[in-house]
Amino acid sequence: MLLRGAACAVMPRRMQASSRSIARTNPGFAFVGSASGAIHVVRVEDGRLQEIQRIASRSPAHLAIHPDGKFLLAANAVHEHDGLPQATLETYSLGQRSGCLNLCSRQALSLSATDARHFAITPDGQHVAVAAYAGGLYNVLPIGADGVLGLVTSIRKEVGCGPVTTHQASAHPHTLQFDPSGQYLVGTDFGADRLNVLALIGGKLVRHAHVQLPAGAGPASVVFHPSGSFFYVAHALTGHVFCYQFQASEKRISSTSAPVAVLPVIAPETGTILAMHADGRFLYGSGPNPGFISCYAVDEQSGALAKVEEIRVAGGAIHSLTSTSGYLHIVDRSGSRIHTLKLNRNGAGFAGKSHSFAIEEPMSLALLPATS
Amino acid sequence: MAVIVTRQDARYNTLKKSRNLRWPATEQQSARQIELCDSTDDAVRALQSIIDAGLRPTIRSGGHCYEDFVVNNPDGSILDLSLLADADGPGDRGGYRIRAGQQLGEVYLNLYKRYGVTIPAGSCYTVGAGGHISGGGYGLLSRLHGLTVDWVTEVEILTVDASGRVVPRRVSKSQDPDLFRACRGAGGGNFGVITAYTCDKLPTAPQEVVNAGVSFAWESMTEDRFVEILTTFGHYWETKGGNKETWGLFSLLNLSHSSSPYFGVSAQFCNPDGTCRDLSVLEEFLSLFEALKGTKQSASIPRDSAGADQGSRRERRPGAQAMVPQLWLDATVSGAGGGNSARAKYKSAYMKKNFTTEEAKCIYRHLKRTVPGVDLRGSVLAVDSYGGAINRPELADETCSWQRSSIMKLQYQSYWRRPEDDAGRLQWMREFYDEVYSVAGADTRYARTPFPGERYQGCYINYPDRDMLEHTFWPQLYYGDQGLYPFLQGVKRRYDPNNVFHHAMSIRP
Repeated sequence: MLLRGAACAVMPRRMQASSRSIARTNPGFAFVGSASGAIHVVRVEDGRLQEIQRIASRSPAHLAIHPDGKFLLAANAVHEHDGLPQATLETYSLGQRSGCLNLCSRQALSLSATDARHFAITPDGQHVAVAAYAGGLYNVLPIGADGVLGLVTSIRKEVGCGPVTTHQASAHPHTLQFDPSGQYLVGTDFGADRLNVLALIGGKLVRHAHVQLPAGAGPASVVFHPSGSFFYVAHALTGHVFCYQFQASEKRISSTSAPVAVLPVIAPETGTILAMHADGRFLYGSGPNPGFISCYAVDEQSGALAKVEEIRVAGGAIHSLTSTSGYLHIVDRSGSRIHTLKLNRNGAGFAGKSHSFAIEEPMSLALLPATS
Repeated sequence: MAVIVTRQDARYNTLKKSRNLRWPATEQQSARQIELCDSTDDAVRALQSIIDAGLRPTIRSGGHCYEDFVVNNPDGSILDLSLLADADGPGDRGGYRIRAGQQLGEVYLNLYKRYGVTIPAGSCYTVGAGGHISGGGYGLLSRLHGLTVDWVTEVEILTVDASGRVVPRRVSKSQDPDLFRACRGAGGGNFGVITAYTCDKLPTAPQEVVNAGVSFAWESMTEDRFVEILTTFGHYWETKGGNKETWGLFSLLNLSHSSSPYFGVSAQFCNPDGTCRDLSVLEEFLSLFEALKGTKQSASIPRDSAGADQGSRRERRPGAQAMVPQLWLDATVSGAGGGNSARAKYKSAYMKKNFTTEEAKCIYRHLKRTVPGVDLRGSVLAVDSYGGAINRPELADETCSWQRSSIMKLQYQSYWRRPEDDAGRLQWMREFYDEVYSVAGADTRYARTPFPGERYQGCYINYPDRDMLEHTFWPQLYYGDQGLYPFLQGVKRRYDPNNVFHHAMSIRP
């Protein structure tokens, strides 16, 4: 196994960019998790894309840069590790100039915490909360100053189900998202049709509140508005996007009575993927058809959405969306490509596809913008 | 009301531990709390509160689990059934009701004094009925009366449904028969919280038994004679074990490591009618070993226990004595061990055939072996006689105790006190076991394991061994390769869809 990965730039590969018109300062490095069992490090410089490293990692379903910018975290959506039913979480030290990764630690999650698909890092960077989809658990692990993950400090076992038995026979924690204050986490449970309001207190995960959603909703992707007063949840099994008001002081969630957007069901486990523009004025979502992305204007008072534009970018279901300043990055797993869309000024719609490059079965993406 | 013991409670440090003092492995692995329940209703409430709090429950009856399945429960809650005080005796529909938290010694006393019956279960007094019976329940009377699960007609169990609600169930051949079968031999901690078993009928307890044995000194032992002792033992059970007149004979070839001065063969015997009027079967059996220069003696069966005291109790000292019948209840309860705790490691294997010369030589090598810096006293390979009433093939389909054609059951054991001895002990046993199941002729695909086949019949789930997890086929070692494991996975998905009850070797959903 290629645990430490090939040394940086040992096997550079020019990416198959369809355009060279990428901005000079955006981004510096892209880290792409691939279902083929690797994290690819791609240097983005002067409009050129070049794979500089490929490091072995089992099913890296979610990637994120640590708040201090020195580490990359990866959730491994695996069902077994060391002969036990448990997934793992990895940290990689990140070369600040080279972008190269070195495995820093690989920590087993708790027993039965299988198929880790998402996590959220505390704003202070000291803990990470993980959603183990198949196992139906949340885990919390400490992150050392050196990037080394400690043993699991908190376990929360979820139970529940939904009427869509093919997908909802048991609880499936799907996505975890901190509110902008960093105090609370909203967790969607795809299997149990539930939203959980959680907090990390002394390294322990505490559930403050929960909202039971309509049976068969399949809540999945969640994004907060920068104001923190509302967030959007994609109900993956019905194709609805709902807006939920969030009163942090009361740890309370209330829902709009009707969906703020309706998108057809594309792929239940992937569902509709959401991303929010940094200034909160526009929301992007996969759909209305496979391979399409839609842009919505956000009413910052009510959370209501008004469709601005839709564009076809891929051949199949979108796996992940990441919004950075001026761009939207799209993980197209079935097409084995990463697409980047240039956004119009202020994020209001799409200026066109900037580039697209091939990565075998991509499933996750994290970006480290270039530093000047 | 359940008694909840948390870290601040003076009882916590005692109650967080297993009988196997290796567990919990670290403080961080310890449970957040232990909940001791007074009644089944109490257990329902306690389990529901555990589920609602998002904690992982693990279940303890007697605390004898060999591996870390119960007390390694970081941030979770141990549901302790040892104080369950629901009425004993006849259940609602008659029969004999056995509470999960009862110790086997209590069960024997209660059933005998009230009704004159017994269960053919294990020999350790303090083992809890809940886990023991769920894994099969095997003991000194099993050749005569079968496994304990063969007698169970109803199981009371708390399951957790898909929505997270605790559901008390009484399962039997007519009610949830798939779960009923799974509770009869698949092992504990898989499907729910078993609170009681009911047996419509139970065998009459023997009136008396004779305990006797033959011992051998390691000092004068040779490899050839050792091989002859093992193959004589195996040959007897291979050729005579099926005869009904031998079913009242249980025997243990207790192969202590050579750091002890003696090893030996022990036996407990009664006639099928529960008397000791005719001892010819026992005499013939022991004479085989006297002929091999063994010393006949009166001896009780060493009890399998995590409390062995460095092997001294297991030594068979010479000194011929008459074979005097003893009251069965005295023999069963008075001499039963299991009260002490120690650090321990176990492995197991079922054998369908006699030992080969190569296997016996391999065993000899490892029992004679010394490892610098490792004290191997208290290490033993216990070879139990098997078969008899157990080997009724139709019971393999009724229960999940599928090993119904073996003649011997082997339990590798090592007991010690100091944590610093862990590595040496574990390594010795692993190497011992690996080599025995890698001798010439072993199927290389399944090397280092007694994979079910012509010679072996896998391992006993009540003697679980985490080392087996390194083999992708570990479920087949414990549940065979004839479709039982997929059946159990189906039961798991149906009755525990959220996999609330799980441990390192639980049925995977």
